[in-house]
Amino acid sequence: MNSILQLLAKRPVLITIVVCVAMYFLAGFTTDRPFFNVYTMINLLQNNAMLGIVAVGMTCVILTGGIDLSVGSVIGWSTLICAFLIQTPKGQPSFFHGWNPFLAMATVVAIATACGLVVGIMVHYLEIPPFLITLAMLFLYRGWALVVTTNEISVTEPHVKALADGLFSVPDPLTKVRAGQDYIQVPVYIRTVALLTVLAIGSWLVRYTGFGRSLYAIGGSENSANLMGLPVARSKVVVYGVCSFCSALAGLALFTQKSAGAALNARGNELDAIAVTVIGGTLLSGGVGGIVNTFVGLITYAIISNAMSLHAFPTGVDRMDIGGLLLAFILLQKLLQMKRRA
Amino acid sequence: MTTSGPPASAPLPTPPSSGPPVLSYTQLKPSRSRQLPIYIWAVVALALLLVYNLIFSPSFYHIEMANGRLIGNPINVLHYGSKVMLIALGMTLVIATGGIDLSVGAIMAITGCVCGLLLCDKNLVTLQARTPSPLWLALAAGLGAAILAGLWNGTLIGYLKIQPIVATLILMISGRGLAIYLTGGQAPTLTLPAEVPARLHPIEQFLAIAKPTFFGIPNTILIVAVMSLLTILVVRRTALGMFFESIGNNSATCEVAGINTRFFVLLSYVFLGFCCGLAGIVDASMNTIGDPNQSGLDIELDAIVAVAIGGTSLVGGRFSLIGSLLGAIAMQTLNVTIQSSGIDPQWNFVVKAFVVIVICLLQSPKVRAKLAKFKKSA
Repeated sequence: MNSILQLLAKRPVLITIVVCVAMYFLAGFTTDRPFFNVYTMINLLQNNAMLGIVAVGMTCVILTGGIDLSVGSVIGWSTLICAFLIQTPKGQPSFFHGWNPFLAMATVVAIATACGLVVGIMVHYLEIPPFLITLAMLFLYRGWALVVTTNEISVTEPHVKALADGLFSVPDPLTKVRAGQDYIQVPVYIRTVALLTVLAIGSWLVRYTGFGRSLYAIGGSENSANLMGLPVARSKVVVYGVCSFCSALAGLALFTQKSAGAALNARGNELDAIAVTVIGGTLLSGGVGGIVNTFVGLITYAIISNAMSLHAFPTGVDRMDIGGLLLAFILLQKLLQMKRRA
Repeated sequence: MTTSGPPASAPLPTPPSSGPPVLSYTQLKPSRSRQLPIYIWAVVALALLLVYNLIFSPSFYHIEMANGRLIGNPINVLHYGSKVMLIALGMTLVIATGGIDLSVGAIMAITGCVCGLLLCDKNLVTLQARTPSPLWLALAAGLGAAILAGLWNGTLIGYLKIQPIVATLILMISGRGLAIYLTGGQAPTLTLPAEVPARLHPIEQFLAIAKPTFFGIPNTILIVAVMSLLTILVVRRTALGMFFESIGNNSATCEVAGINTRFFVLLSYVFLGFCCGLAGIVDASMNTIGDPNQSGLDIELDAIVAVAIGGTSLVGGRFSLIGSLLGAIAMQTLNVTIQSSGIDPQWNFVVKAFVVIVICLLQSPKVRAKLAKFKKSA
């Protein structure tokens, strides 16, 4: 019994995994719809790809002991700016309209990353609390998007449509030999692919690179990291860039999902991202946690919200449930910390 | 004053002069520049806005009496700003202890919904008729719920030592869920049934909260004035304020010095809960609806910005209630100015962002040191 507790104290993510699996089976056995199949899982990933991608960036920032409140606004902003650049209002491409969709997406991601780096510089060199400066960015992105337009912009561009449907035309391999080649539609779960890629790169970055390890060191103790000669300044600046980069990517995921952009998209998403990170077992004081934890947290969160929507629970209960889960995990972490110290 | 600095800049507190690191008594004594109130930037911001209005839209200052109520932009600023002002009062104390509360909007929503449910004359889910509760019961229940929410936050943060952001995040997420659950997804609208004698109906009494009674001044302004006066008196005329500041400066030292830090942290959150309850009642009365989704949406950000403008240090340890009130008024003046000068209200967000960035820069010790050096060399 004691050894189990010690194991849990060392690896709190195990608890999340247990809860996650329990919720999965609970949700599956209590619903009369088909649940235990690969489509449910893919749907979970497809529908929560945006949240997952944001949570990866958020986890990196939280590992250093910082926080980024602007992620929800970045998502809303990037969907809107993307749609704004791609659409052609009167069928006339102009300087700000009718861009190539991929160029527009790259531009949006680049701007967000640059802004993130500026935030990082402000946090590190000017010693502004991250909570405040990212709060300012929250207003700035939201305001920027709202000033551009308060309406939703729908995009009918064929590439975006293809991304939205997840159907791509490829030459039919069976008819290859014939002269007139046929095309078939291949479904690609593009958001799931994006999510898994970001997760894989993120966990590699955090676990196996000097940059990632310096994040843990900074979160543990910034002074010690400095004394050890780690590139604290660089890591701290870059991590805010990474977070904004992830948020913009998440915005693109939402944009391709809806093939439309609106300034008020993903309002309050930063709190969901923080919740997912905390449920995964990453400590908000920094230094403990990781991307794998966040993935487990994401799946737990996704299963709970999905199970809630499958059952006819009274409205509002799902929010209370996620709050309750958050509380349970925080208390558990507290308990384990005390156990470890004792 | 040299001419080199920005025009409205007041002398910043300069760090002890360079030279041998010996602190003499004269250095410890606050210099003249230190005696400027810490809310100087709120005053400057408000003054700039008022001057702008004086030049570009003098009609801003026009107040008239119509149907027994005062009408005009200054009254609007105070009336619609009352919610943020109330919350900023409590938020100041919470931030002074080194905490933060993200759940204020959710607490407002809960209070509004509880009041609305008790005042409605039918059950929202089953649509069965019920006799509306008297006003005092609705108010007591609403404020009670808000105080309970504050107790919850305070217990988590003060006694269980959970980080304030996370602890209040829990209530922020689940609070609105609770409000939606209580109302069954319907927002209780507070409209008078046609056949009831209006004067005696509790809804009428409830709606009167946001209406003018006293020389045409809306009650909301009176509520804010009384609350502010009481709070400032209690906090600054007793040792309470000093306790809050010292907990924000160094909680461990306070504990050693014999201050029951846990209790005072709890107290600050409970007080904020009470303020949110008042704000929720004002909001429900103003909009004639107890809205679980919209009531107090994003108000936590406005309140934090108001507190920051008011000169309260956001890492705790130093606060000014007057500053927070002025900050809230300045923000609402900005809203009304933007509206009345025909600029798109969307610019509000952008301006607010720049205000926060400027405040951040001004509060940053690094920037202050640089500015001080720059001033000395000039």
